[in-house]
Amino acid sequence: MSGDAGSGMRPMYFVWFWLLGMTLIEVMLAYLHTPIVIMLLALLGLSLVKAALIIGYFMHLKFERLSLALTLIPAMVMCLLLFNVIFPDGNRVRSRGVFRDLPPPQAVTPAGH
Amino acid sequence: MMRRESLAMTSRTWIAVSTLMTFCLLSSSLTMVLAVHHAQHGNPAKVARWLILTMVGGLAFLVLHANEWRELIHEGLRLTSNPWGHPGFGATFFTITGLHMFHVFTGVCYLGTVAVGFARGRFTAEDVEVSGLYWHFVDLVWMFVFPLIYLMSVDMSGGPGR
Repeated sequence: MSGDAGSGMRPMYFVWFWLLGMTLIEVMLAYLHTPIVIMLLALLGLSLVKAALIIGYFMHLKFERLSLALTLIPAMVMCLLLFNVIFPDGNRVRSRGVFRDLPPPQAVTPAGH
Repeated sequence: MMRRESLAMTSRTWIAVSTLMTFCLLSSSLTMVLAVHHAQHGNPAKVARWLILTMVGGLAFLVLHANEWRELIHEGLRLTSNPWGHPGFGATFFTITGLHMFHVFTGVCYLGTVAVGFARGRFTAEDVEVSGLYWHFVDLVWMFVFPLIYLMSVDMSGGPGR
C-alpha cells in the first residue's frame, strides 16, 4: 500500500499507527482500575495528542501555520464562551441536588453485551 | 462530565465494539488521506477507490453504532432513564453519539457525491481535499467521544457499577 501511495505518504502511516496505539492505551486504562480523576486526565491528554496528530498531519495544517492559527484561535474562543454559558447551570444542578430524590440505580447487568 | 457509575456496562463487548468502531473511523481517515494524495497527483481511478474504501469505513461505523443503539434501547436505556445508573446518561449518550452519527452519515453521502463528481471531471482535487477536512474533523470529534463517553462510563470490574 505504501508503494502504491508514494514515499511521501510514509508519515501518514506512522501517524495512523500511533493513533491506533494510543487508542489501545486508552482501552487498557479502562481495564486498570485507575482513580477516576487520573483516568480522566490521562484520557484527555491522550485525546489532545491524537487530535493534534489528526489536525497536523491528516488535515495537513502542520504545514499551513496561518490556517492552523486562524482555525484554532477563533474556535478556542468560541468554545470558552460556550462553556461559560453552561458552567453556571452545572453549578446550580450540583448545589441544588436535582437528582437527589431519585431512587438508587438498580443492580442490573445488561444482557447480551 | 459523566460519572463512571452512570452506565454499569460491565461486558467487555461494549468496549470491544466501540474500539472496533474507532478502528473503522481511524482507518477511513487514512484512506481519505490517500484519496486526497491521488487527487492532487491526478489519478481519478485511485481517488475513486480510496474514497469508496473511506465510505465503507464510515458505513461500517454506522452499522456497528446503530446495532449498539438498538441493543441499549432494548435493554432499557432511554433519554430520561438509565437502568444501570445516573438518569442523565441516556440524554447525554444519545444526543452526543446521535449527532456524531448524523455527521458520519452526512459525510458518507458527501464523499459519494465528491467521488462521482471527481470521476466525471466536475470536481477538482481541491474539492476532494475539502471533503477530506470534513471527514477528518468527524474523526477528530470521535477521538473525544470514545474516551469520555465510553471509557469513562464503563465498569470493567464485572460488578453492576461503582
